[in-house]
Amino acid sequence: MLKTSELAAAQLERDLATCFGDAPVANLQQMAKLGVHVFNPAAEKPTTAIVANLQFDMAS
Amino acid sequence: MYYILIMVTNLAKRAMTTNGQKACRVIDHLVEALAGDASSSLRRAMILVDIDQNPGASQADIMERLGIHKSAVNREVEWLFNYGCIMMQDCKDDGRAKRLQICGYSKAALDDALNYFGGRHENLMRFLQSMARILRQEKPTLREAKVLNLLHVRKTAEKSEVTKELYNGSSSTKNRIINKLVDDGVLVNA
Repeated sequence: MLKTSELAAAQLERDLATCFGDAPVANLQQMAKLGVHVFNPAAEKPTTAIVANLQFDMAS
Repeated sequence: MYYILIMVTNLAKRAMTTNGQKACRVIDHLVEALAGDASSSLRRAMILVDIDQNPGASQADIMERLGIHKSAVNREVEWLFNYGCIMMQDCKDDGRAKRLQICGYSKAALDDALNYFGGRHENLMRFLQSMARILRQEKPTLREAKVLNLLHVRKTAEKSEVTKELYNGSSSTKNRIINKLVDDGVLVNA
């Protein structure tokens, strides 16, 4: 069995978080451009943490 | 409406994907953008990203921005042109220079990769630089980057499971890559 070394795993964790950090926000903006309403009553602005709780209002 | 539903579903899936899974998908798109050649170096991918970010760039511009030697840039640009990834146009100001622009299937696949970074070239470039730093190889490739991220996603895996996911290529090449990563201390036996 193989696994990444502890150092490589730590570096990867940190770097990927930095590189992808804003991607969910960009996705939300992309959804908004498509006319999809994104509800997020709990946060002032979308963050990675709340992406899993997205609701879509397709009725409009 | 159906199109929007598909788009939203894909976006939602992407948003709920872990960073390791995203990294694997980004590498898949980059391999696609580079004529399906997983043995393409990360440096070649960086040059393609730079050309997309700076349409009409010359080789001298790329050398300056990425700090890559002239002969290496020349070799990679020639490869990209031969595989239909980029177009070349004569430069009006300098008869010897060519203006470079990404095109066709490469553009489509690179756009797919960029979607994971909110369209930000600098973040995709940072991603590639990070892979190169962590892999600690002389000339790291997209296949090596895939090994690293696959194991990051799965935590542990048998060598045979990893090699299955490493695109086309001989088993001996794939085994050699994995053994080298173990020798370099990037991977360890669990």
